Amino acid sequence: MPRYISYIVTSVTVVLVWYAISLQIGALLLPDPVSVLSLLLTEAGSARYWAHVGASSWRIFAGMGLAFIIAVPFGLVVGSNPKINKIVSPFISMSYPVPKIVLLPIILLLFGIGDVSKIILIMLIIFFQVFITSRDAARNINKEMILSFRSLGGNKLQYYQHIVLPASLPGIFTSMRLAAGTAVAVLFFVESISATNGLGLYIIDAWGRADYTSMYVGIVSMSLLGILLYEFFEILERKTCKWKHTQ
Amino acid sequence: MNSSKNLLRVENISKVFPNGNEEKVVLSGINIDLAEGESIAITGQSGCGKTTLLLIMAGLISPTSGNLFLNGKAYSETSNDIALVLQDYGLPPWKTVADNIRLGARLQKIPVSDDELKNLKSQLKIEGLDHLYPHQLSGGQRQRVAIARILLLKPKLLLLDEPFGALDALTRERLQKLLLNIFRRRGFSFIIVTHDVEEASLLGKRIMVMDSNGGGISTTIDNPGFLSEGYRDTQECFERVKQLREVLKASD
Repeated sequence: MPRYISYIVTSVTVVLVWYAISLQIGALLLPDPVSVLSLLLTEAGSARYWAHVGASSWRIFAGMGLAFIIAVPFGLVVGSNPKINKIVSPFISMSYPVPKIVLLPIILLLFGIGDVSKIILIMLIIFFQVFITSRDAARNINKEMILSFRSLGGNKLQYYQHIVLPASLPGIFTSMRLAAGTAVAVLFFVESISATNGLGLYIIDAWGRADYTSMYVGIVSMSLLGILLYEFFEILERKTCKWKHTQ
Repeated sequence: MNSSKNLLRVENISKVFPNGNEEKVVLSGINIDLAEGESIAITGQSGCGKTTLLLIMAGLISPTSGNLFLNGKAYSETSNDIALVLQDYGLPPWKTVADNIRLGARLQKIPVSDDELKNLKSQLKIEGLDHLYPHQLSGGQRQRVAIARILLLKPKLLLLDEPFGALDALTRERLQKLLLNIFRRRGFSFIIVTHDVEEASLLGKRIMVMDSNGGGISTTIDNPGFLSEGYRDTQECFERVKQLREVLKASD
């Protein structure tokens, strides 16, 4: 089944289930999808709504982009150098289990309530997932392929270009897809605590005013942001890892 | 052997690996002289150090002691004159056949003409596969691609580590014939490591048997008739295989 058809089928199913639950528990708690989607269309015509969407999108793209730019090369270098890995791994093992979200007060104290603190927190949380995946992918490259490549006369830089990076890309994109969900959750948390704009604030503000239809517009918008991110990395993986998708 | 035609000299090579608090001697006192245009098959039981020896000759791992010379010049690292073919082909799965074939030439900045590439593919019967990825090929096709990639580099010495070990009997026989045909035409030298005594008899002008308990070369057998037509079905080949089996049993 083509992907767009499976998306349409899934969306229609979600809307129908949503509608059925809304009928069961009442529109006060769960407004029906038609009201939410029509308000979403109305909001889509307002600059205020797009300012919220723009602020959230910027934070999430910047946070994930920074995590990607820093974690991927670092992970690949550490993974393909056992000596460096031996030095770095204890620090990672010690710092990875620390819930980075508890650092939020410190980050807010250091960087204020603007975009920087939110981007840094998203980056910090995503960094470890992407770093560990990149490192492990580089570490698990088939030994015979490494020997074979070296015997062909490839230097260190060419080794990263022709072997390490392409071998690790599928794992990296999987981790970025998984990280997209985490990033949206973190974004909601930080925007609901300290923000002057963004979809997290939009949701909490509507919730505070007991305007549940608007609250669901925010929830749907944030979900769409997560889905778009997920699809972006899916498409990127399909474009750059064609070999994984051939029979 | 004429010393001016000597291509590779392996001089008193030994290799010791740490094994807990002890040391495990994998190779000791290995000496090999290989002339230009000659082939050697090295055989022995699993774990006797055949592959370690080949990787040392390829410059991929360092010996604990001893020296290596190529055309009279000492070397300790990989050389563009030496190429290696491994059992699992070493083809990056993310590169198409066309990219895999050209990989070595690209790395070494060797210009390759379209005609040369076309002839090579025709010789190895891998035409029309350019756009495919390694997982879309059969084992035999993959090994042909790996050989094509190496031949494009025009190495003086080809090192093969159980190159046909994972293939079915018929494909293995075809590729052994193909290797000998190319060897006749191109005149490079090769050393093949194999645990298959029949393969050793078919491909080696000299056959070296390694000690099973990590030592050196226990026996060297001359096999001058290996290139003759239909050698596989001759009494000489049969006798050679029998002789090798007996030597291997004795070295166990």
